[in-house]
Amino acid sequence: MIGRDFDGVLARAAAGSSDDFARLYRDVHPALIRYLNVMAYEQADDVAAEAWLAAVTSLSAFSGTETSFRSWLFTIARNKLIDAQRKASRRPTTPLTEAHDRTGRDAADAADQVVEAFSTERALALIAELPKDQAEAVMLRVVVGLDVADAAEVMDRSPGAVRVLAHRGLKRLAQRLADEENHEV
Amino acid sequence: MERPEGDVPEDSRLDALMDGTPASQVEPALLPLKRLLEAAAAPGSPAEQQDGLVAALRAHGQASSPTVAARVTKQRTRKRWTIGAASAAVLLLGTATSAYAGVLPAPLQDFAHATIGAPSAAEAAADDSRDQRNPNGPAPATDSTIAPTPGGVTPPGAPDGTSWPATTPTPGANGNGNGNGVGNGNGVGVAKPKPTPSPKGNANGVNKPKPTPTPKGNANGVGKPKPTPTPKGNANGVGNTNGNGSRP
Repeated sequence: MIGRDFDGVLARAAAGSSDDFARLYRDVHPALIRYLNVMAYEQADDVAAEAWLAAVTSLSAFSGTETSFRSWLFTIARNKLIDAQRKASRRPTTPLTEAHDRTGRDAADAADQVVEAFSTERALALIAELPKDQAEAVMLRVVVGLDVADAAEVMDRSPGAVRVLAHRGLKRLAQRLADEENHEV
Repeated sequence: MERPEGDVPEDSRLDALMDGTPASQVEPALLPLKRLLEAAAAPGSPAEQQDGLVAALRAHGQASSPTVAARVTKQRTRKRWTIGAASAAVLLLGTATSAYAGVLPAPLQDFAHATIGAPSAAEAAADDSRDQRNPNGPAPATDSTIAPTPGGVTPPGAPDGTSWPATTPTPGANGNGNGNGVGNGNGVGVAKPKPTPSPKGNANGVNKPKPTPTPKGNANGVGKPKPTPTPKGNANGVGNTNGNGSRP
């Protein structure tokens, strides 16, 4: 998070400052690409690019806090993702291999290595195994850093529903980790 | 129905976990989960931060240039005008449809009558009252061509106490006529609109009432709608022939 400087950075980026826009981008893009990787690995890069393109053309029209900027950007990205998935469903493609999950990593391999030190990729691979709405709620709350209300706005759901989804996702993750630990013992 | 998972304290612990409670304050059972979430939310690597940055900067530069900004503003303005024009068209179409259906408030209905030839409020009200078969519901007559008469008063020139309409009947309308007067014919018939007010009778006493937009009267003067001009095929002037026509 940029923090106290956010307002100035945003204003200068909207006025055309490349440096300030790059600062915004570097701050938000990792969370954006992780979120999109979990939601739809194959389309993540394209959707992220489209989301940024839409964001830069509307940047001067945005005003708000840093959290609301994230919420705004992730709402754009989510809408672009829905569009992309709709288009993809009209021209279905054959998956390259069934051995790889949405993150491109072997899911069983990721689960085997979660006991002590998690890498970001392994953690994201486990979250990606959750039901999609639970994974989305966990990603928006934990990785993007939105509170329940903002996450609910992005997901177009009620705050209560998002809270329940995140809880269920976390409980499922905890159960999965406990199972893996018992399996190793 | 899915069973709710966990109890409230556990949920609050999960909330705390997502809100960034330090690992030292997390109970041991949840530590693996805490580590997983920390790894997922770790700061972006340089590779992640640079990924796609060049293309985004190029897009940002183009969007920030004055010509592009002007074009975007122009596109937005054009889009707003298009949306506004479409909304106005939909509104006008809906209003016109409502006007022809006769469901607008009376002043608007009369305005539509004057401007686009929609039925007047009086005609619409007469249609409504006829549709609902509500004999005691006089229709408001606001159209000057209809010249309503106060209830129960026989208009000048109306023979044998009938209320005479001042408008032509609506072709194709259906109605029921009940003869309560001297005549002996009661019946239901199909209205055959006839613009002439002179009664034509037949021998079988079948009513063929003529529904008209406004004038309503009946034999006992209680405001019952009177389907005039004279029903065709009424042998004895059946259908309120002796009534004191009550007009709204």
